[in-house]
Amino acid sequence: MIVIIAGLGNLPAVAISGMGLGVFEEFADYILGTEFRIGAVFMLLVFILVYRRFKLSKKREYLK
Amino acid sequence: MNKIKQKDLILYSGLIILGLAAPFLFSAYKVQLTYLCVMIVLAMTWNLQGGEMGYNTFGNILFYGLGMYLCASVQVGMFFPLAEWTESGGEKTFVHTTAQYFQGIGFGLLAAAIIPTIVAGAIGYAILGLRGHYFAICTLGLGIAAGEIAGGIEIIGAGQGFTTPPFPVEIVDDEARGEFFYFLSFALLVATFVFIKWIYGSRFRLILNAIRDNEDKAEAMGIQTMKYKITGWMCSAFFCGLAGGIMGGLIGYIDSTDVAFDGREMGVFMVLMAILGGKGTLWGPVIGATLFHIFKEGLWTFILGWQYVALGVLIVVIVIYFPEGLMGWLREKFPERFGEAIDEKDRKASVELK
Repeated sequence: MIVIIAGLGNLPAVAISGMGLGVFEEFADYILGTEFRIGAVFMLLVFILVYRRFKLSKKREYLK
Repeated sequence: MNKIKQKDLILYSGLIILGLAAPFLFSAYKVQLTYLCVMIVLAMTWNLQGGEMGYNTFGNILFYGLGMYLCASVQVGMFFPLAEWTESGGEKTFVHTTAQYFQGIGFGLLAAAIIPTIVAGAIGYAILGLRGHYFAICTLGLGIAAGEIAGGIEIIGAGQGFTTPPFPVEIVDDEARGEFFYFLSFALLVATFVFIKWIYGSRFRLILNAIRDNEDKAEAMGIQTMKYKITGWMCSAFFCGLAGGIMGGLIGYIDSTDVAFDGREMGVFMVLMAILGGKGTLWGPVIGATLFHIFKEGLWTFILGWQYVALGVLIVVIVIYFPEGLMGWLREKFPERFGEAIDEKDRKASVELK
């Protein structure tokens, strides 16, 4: 999941996204409540993929 | 033009009679038969998505779980305060009368059919723009996230679970409950089969196949691929939602991650069943789901504790020996039965090439 968020084959971003994910998880825990902790992480995954998809679609490209 | 072949007519009427007689012939297996019907429906809808359109989704469980929760919530919420119901848990402080129960389940199934379809249409544009692995991962994430989020919402029971209304107590006949859910799921199965058979004879299927084979070319040929992809997903969601609604009533208890958004079991099984039977065929998912269900129940009964190991072995065998599924294997063995003429010279040449 960390790799997907960073993008396949992008090594420095993997390190950053690994750290960021941990921080995000703690924040989600604090802000949304513990019960939504795992859900928030997976929603982040979905949102990032969708965001990248819309960004690429402006150039008429797509994630694959 | 529209001549139905006599052989087909005998086959379909035979199957329908068998389906209608099944709960009376095997009255001890009514729940299993209901499961079987629902699993066939799930496999067929997955096949429409993964087999025909080439978008391997793990997220159809989202609609299944959504349908389950919606059906139960509407059934309860129509007559009683939902929050108090879930708070009392299994204590059953409220009792549905017979009329209320059936009214509730009717409207519940209506909601379970419509709302997942709308959800599929709403998220379709964003999600279906992804392709290949990213689409699979994204839908997988969506399914897991939905389960986790549903486990945090108080009004539908949160982690404690949601008890669906019990079958009305006025009906004292023990068999009635099983028969009711069996016939409901059988009706759903027939409706799904008829709908998908209709799709198989239509232009829509050709468009979906074009998207599977090469989406860029399909788009270049002037097909609005996104529109058709979303429509295909909505068709899947409609039947998945209904299947979930029926399943919720049958099981009687909804847990967020183990029953409703059960990506670990149902979500994987529906993919397996379609692949076992052969994706991209009408009968493949039906045969695959039937065999899979028999296998699964056998494994669960006779080697409990090792069932997941045996299931894993089954998956490996399927992938190695039947990469095209059972229908694909049959098609290779007996091409004449599928209405294909094989040029012997051509076949020999290709064998020699190998």
